[in-house]
Amino acid sequence: MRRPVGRREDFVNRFGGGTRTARAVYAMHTMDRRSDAELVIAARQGDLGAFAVLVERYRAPALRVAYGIAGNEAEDAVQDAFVKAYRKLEGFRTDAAFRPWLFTIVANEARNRRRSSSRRSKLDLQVRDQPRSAAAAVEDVVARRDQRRRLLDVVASLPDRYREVVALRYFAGLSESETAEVLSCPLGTAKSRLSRALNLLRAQLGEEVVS
Amino acid sequence: MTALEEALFDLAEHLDHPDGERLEATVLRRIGEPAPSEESRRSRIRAMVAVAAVVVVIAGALVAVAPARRAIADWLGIGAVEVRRVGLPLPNGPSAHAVPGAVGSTSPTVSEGLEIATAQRRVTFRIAVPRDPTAGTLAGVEVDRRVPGGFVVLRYPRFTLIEIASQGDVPVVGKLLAPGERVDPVTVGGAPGFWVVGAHQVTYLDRSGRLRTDTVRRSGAVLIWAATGVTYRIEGLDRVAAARMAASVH
Repeated sequence: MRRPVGRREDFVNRFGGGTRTARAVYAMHTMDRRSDAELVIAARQGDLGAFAVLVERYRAPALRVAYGIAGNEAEDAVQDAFVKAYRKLEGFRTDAAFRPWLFTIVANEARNRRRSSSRRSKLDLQVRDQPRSAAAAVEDVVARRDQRRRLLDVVASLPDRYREVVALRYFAGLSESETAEVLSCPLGTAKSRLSRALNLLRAQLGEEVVS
Repeated sequence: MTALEEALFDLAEHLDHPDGERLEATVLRRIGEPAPSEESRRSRIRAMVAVAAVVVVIAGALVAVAPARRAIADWLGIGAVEVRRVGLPLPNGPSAHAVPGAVGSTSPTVSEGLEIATAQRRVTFRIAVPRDPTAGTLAGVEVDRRVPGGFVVLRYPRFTLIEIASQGDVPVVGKLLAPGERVDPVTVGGAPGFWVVGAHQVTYLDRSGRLRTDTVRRSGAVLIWAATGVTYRIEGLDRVAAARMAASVH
């Protein structure tokens, strides 16, 4: 008989600790065609693999939003958000959209980290030197890189509430109505906040980007 | 879309945010841990230390009773209940022993048709009841004193709530899980628990310390959680309903 090891630890090792099972689950992610609601239902019934698919599905946009709100604390914020989301799955209505529900938690976690940071100075946001995709590489010329740096610098200097709406709408690609849902405000309010954010950016950028 | 909006969408692809390559593994690991609470963390550690020694004994006994179970792959436990996974399908036959809480339990130490007040005098812990109005009318109360501290079965129209004394965090009831069945760590009001899905088999230690095994393969999902001195089990509800009902038990 195998030597008994920790109890929860053993479970975790089976499902989340880089074992063969976890790797197999990981390999299945990219081809999993189930809807968010189907995955949520499966996760509620104890299928951790289904929740892992959701984590992988929303990892990148969640990190982009959190980065836009909390900078280098993005990864910790997103990690906390997914753990909280899992623990709140029982309260999620499967006839509602999962994406805004999840991003409400992500934005909240990122916001809390931003608030609790000792110095609420301007965020240090950076543009990658190497683009993330080959398609982007083709068009990635030095001039555009400088332009992006300048734009991100201005985004970083926005007041939190405007930077947040920019992160949700443009970094995560949420629709205006999803953005409103995440911000718990009417659509009109979200639109006007977005418009105000764009105007602030335009004012800072002058004619550089805005044509 | 304005040029500025296009530039912002483009910028999203070029942010130097963390890759989060370990995010999924870390999230899954943390999900397996109970919600952070200093008290529950301390009591869990105490329970693990106390249980560890006892479980080794139980594990040895199990192997002696059924050599096929040497294939035990992993195990989990809280309060008075331990859950272990075995590498072989569970047998499906008549019950060798009436199991605490099983329908039709017959034993001189099992009392049926009691009032809660009467049952309360026969166990060492305070009997809690579900306060959720959808629980319905209590249809039956049984006390089973074959396990140390006692064992109460409360039958409701749609589900059964079982309460087990867990003195000293010693596991007195075990569940064997066949391959492919699932155990999901959960919390109930901050207390650690498990949602167990699928066929399982029940074993328990009686008051004389003898290991009893129910050979009947049971199916259906069970929510088990542990509070101080008592371990609870709800059978017969789906996960959402079981969680809601569990939260109302006090």
